[in-house]
Amino acid sequence: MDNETIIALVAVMTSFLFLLALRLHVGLALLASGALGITLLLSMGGALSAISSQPFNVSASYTLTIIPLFILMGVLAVNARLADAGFDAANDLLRRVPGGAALASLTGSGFFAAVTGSSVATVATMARVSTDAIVRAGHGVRLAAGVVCAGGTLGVLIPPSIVLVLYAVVTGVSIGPMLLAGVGPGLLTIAAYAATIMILVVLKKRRDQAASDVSYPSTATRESEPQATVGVLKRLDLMGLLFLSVIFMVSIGTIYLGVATPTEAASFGAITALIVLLIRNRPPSWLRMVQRSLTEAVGLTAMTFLLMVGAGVFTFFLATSGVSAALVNAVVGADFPPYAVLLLCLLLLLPLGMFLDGLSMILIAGPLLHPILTGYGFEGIWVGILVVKVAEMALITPPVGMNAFVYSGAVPEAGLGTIFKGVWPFLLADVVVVAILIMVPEIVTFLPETSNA
Amino acid sequence: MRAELPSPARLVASVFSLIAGVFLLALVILTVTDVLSRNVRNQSILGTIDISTMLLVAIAFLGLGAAELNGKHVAVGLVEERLPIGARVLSSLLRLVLLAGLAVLLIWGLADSWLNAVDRGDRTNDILRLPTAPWRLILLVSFTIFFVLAIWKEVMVFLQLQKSREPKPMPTSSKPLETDSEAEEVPRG
Amino acid sequence: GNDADQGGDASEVDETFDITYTTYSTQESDQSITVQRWAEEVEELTEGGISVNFHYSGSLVDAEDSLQATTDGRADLAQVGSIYAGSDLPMYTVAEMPFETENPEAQLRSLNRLYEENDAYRSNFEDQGVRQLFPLPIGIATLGLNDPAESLEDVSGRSIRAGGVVGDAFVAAGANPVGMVATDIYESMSRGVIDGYTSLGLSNLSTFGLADNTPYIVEPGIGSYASSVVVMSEDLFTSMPEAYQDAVLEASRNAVEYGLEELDQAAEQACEELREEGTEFSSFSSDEVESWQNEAGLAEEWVQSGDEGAESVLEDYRSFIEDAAAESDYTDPLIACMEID
Ligand code: NA
Ligand code: NA
Repeated sequence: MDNETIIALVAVMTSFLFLLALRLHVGLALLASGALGITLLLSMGGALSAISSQPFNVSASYTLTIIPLFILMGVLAVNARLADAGFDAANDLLRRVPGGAALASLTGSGFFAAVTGSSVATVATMARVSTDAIVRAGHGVRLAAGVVCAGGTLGVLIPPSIVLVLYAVVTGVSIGPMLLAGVGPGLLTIAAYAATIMILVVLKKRRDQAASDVSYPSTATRESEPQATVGVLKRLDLMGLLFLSVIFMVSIGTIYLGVATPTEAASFGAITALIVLLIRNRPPSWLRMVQRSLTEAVGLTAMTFLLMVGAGVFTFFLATSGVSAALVNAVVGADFPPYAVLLLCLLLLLPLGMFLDGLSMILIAGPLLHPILTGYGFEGIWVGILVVKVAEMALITPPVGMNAFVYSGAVPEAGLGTIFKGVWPFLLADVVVVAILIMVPEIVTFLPETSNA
Repeated sequence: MRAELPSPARLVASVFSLIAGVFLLALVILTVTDVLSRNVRNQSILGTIDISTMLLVAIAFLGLGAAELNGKHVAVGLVEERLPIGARVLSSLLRLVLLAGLAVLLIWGLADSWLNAVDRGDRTNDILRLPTAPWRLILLVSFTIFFVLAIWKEVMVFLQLQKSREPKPMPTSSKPLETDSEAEEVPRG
Repeated sequence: GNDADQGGDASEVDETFDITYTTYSTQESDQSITVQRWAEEVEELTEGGISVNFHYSGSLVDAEDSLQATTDGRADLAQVGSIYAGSDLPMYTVAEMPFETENPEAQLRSLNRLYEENDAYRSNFEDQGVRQLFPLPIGIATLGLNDPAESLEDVSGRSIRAGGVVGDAFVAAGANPVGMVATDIYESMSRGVIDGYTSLGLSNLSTFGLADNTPYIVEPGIGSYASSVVVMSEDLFTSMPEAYQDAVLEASRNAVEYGLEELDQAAEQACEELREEGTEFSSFSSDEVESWQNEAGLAEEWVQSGDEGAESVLEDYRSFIEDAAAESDYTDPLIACMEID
């Protein structure tokens, strides 16, 4: 790296942190500091082109239609009181298990993961409804934030997954085995998160304190409901449950029965949810309900895409600077043993999550890390899963990460401080999962190998 | 602060987000019809990808203004809210300058790329070869209204901070972990 | 270049150029390897005076945006696909015309000649402020299917992933063209969302995981159906000393050769995989292809929708192809793969 690049890098990092502290919109802070870096490295004109081409380039992408579509499906399901039905049922079912509502939310993210391949879409959709349910069950926003942000990362591991396909394409690994390889680690991650939830809830109960956690600001407006753990049976909304399973069956079914691609399935999910919303409301309120759902979905979508525009400008700066290649070369040049190189390469991914979304990270890091790590004799698919898994962790790693930003946009009363306090136990669980995947590679390679035989 | 914004601005923002909503609904219906048609009568709707892609351009950003009004955009309040009032006035002023600067850059850049697309007759690459200029115009308009509202809102914040700098305590500092001051009322079943 | 005793023009120049190449192709694709070889040659010829930074898979700039990026300073050198060139380089989209040639070498050579000899073609590039350095091959169109097709009629009514002008040809054949990004094809083929795919060459199949899940492959007679060109910013080119310009041009002349070699190599791998999986190969009869071409009438449509120069471009393209094909003994890898046995 030459001096010019180092100066640009320092200027960009400093200005980004300064703009964040200034409480500028995160998307605009990314955009402004990225543009500063491009100006320093290329030219003012280059920066202006990078800025003004981003909004169109980010949004003129068929694959990304999945984001507003899934957000709409989620919002409609909430407004049709289906999410409540699901959470109430889960609470009832899991009333003897600590953290039932949080486990239900995790299960929801897991189902969602089987439909979408996008972390951001999962978080944007699940955030509001899960938080409400978890807080209503007597837990803090902190737990809710942790469950939702971490749960979002499941979408990428469990197929269908745009990120896994993209990784396979940019690195030359075969797509089919790569997709199958994500299933084991995805399930392991769910198990680890579930264990984390139960441990957190039990520990909290032991400590038996209520003061230090952030209390939910608007509890007053909510009707006081019996807590699930008390064991009081609430009348279950069976119709709601039925509708909820219909929506999931339609969106998952269209994919696995070969009717539609995952991108198209999102539309089926949304239209089913819309029909259910109409069924569960009287005609006079139809227009108002639909309008409100659309407006909400559009607002969340705009928030998400503004973040992506900023991330896009930043991605261009990072790519132009060549800093990722320089760092990786430094690691490789240091002549460490293979597993140390592996760990260092994975660690390099974490700071990237401050600025980029999962897809951009794979585009930049995949082609860079993959040939090096496979060169040390590690298996391609296994390396791929590790890189994707850690890239997803980067989205929730403090001090800043894309999933946390999106969560905070969807649940404005939870600040980033609260979110990261909620997230770190799940990050710890992720570290354990990664360690297990390194020690027992069969969890990754088992499915692709059996399907080959 | 929401109520202090002039009603024409609010009206424009909500009309835009309604249009985006209608486009989103159109996207859903188009895709479902295409898939059904393909599976039932073996006939796709030609150009579904072209149309969907351009619809997304509008859906993604037409709601920017409304999201700004409703405080949906993500910002990190951790540091700024712990600052003394004088520093907050200064930071509000800085935000104002930054927003204005970014507004000039983005609006200028988006206008340029819109005119450029008109000039080149820029089109999508799939089967319908739709012109991209109208959608780029939508981007320009969306970002313009977004910046107008954001700057307006920041001016309000600045004035309020200025006022409360004198004797009275800040009314908004009661929720220390907030990212942005006003959350939209969200239905809770 | 500091080694003055090496002789030659380039060594007398002290300036260095660190240029940026943006491509939507992956790092390991035959097209990227071709450009890597070109860059090595340029670096050698200029004794390190020109070095190229590679950005693959659209990680710097999107495929649709790469020409613009070359003109506004975000990149210096770009791979521009014919499918993304409709608005900016309309004359160059003649390369997309189906049914023109089954010989990729002939196609590449005539694209180079068009740039040298046809004003309408060349001025397209000049107007954009870029220079065509060399075209990259894709190979002839491959039609991958889940069920066998003896004749063109069998394809009628099936859902085929197709894009660009090839999609129009399949509309004319009564098929149902489905627009789909290449990374979605694998899962859609496995689950039966689509019955087949085209708008891909043999060498692309491994990249998108299709070499091991396509039971039937047809050579549909569409031929060299698309291409891409590597372009350089004209401002950059003219700012270079003459010795460097010569080096760039010399390496570009050799690049067609490199492209075909790398295409063969990549396609050979796909061919082996397909053979291992027991994929069945077939082709449509030439009578059928001819009436398909006439019915589709795509060349006429292309001339009509273009401006005045379009007719001369098509005419020259065809006659250049004829000349080049007569001199070339290159066999497309798909045809070579079918002829094994
Ligand atoms: Na998924
Ligand atoms: Na992070």
